Amino acid sequence: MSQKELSPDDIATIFAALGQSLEEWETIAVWGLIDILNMARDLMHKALIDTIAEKWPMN
Amino acid sequence: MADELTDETVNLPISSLAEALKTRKLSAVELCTSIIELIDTYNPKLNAYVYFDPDYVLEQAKNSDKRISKQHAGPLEGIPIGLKDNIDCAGMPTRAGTIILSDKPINRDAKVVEQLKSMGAIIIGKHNMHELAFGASTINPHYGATKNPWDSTKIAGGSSGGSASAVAARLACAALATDTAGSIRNPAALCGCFGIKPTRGLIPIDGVVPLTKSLCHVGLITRWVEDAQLLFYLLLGNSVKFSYNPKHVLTRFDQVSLLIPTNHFFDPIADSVKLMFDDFVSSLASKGAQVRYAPLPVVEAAYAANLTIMVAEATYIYRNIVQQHADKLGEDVRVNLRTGSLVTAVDLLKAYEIRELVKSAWAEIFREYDFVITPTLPGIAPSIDEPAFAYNKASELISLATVRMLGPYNVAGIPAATIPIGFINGLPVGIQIAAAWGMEMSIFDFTKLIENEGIYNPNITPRI
Repeated sequence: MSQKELSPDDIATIFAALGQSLEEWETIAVWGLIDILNMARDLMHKALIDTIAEKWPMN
Repeated sequence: MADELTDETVNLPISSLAEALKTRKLSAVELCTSIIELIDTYNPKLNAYVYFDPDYVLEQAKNSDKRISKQHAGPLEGIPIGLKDNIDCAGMPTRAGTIILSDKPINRDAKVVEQLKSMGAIIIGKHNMHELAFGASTINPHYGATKNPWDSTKIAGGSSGGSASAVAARLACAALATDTAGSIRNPAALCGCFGIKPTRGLIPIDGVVPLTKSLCHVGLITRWVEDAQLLFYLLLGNSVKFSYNPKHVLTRFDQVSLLIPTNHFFDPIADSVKLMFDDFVSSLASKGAQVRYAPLPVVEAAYAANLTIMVAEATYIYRNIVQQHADKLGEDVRVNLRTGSLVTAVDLLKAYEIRELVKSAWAEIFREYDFVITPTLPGIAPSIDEPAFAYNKASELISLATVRMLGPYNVAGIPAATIPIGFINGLPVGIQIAAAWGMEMSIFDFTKLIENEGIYNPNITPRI
């Protein structure tokens, strides 16, 4: 699942699965930080060469 | 002698104090008494110390004086040095800015503290810090905010805010601190100190409460560059891990080549800081430094990798605490530790791969340049009420600005320092100097040149 599509309810569900019960303000705060993680993910993605695509042709 | 002790005496470089102590022009008890008085006067205003026992300090000082009289003095005999509260010192609690760790004294020294004590240094106390070192303001929900000595309505920065505030206010000759994404350089810059995180692993991390497994560095905050150089050399003088050839000491600006990155560090930045930085670089060029402007490769990815590794590794380390004691954590740290759970395995592996990419790219850079120079932070110390840098039409949280400006060098593990170059609205501004792995002595040489030029004068002290 793309984290860009996560809602606060999804966040609460993920953490419940981890055995962590988040207060509402925490859920919203974590949801707000997802943008930062996504930014980091995009920057890392741009910097890395796809080794498979580089070395072997694809159909 | 005690009557002659003044604030100026306390402000002397460590080498001068050590000489005065060894020749018995000054006693360790007199020096420590003077610093204790300064702490008693100013700590209630600054909240730099969270643990301080004057009786313990004076007892250590008496022991130092005895060793000096018997001519058994170590190279740091009688010199008072403070510790960030995530570094173990026997007989003192290690709380790391949180209420989760015990208030009871620890019965062991961190490796680096053991080294300092064996050289005669006096551990004067523990400094306030951002909770678990996971933040950049030292607005601590449990122990209170540390204030900036230059303006007590402003933050001291963080996470080593207590250490920088104490050193700037002359409440310690130097401080040992830690840096995972800028936690030494940020407060040192905001409080007008010299701060350095050496190459990762050079100063041992044993006995330091970790924030991460692969980004934490132990380093130094001092007023004088020569103090950091002396401490570094004494701690690592026998190490083969750093390069120092006394025949290649930098003594002139025309011996250095500088890269000024044109990317990443200047977007965003306060106009006033950018102007001061540009003037500073121009002055270096006019003194003969070879200055080139070009992008620093993969720095954005290094920043992203630092962020990703830090939150993931911290969440891993504190997984039980966040499960069992979340209600005892401050709000920001609690949210940071939750967020790390959302970093995927693929994200983390990408970040580790980027670390190798960065090391390789920057090894090339440092074959061509001695130093990479940037502003340390994009603004001056923000207010305690609103810990964010304000730009023309935007603002940036200090925590994010710190990771952006300073975190990339933690990923690579290269040495990086900050030195003040001036003041804006009465608050210090620093520049960041990064060099290749093991080139700490070159950083010291270069920053001493800056200090000797009078660009930075450690004798200017804050009026608290």
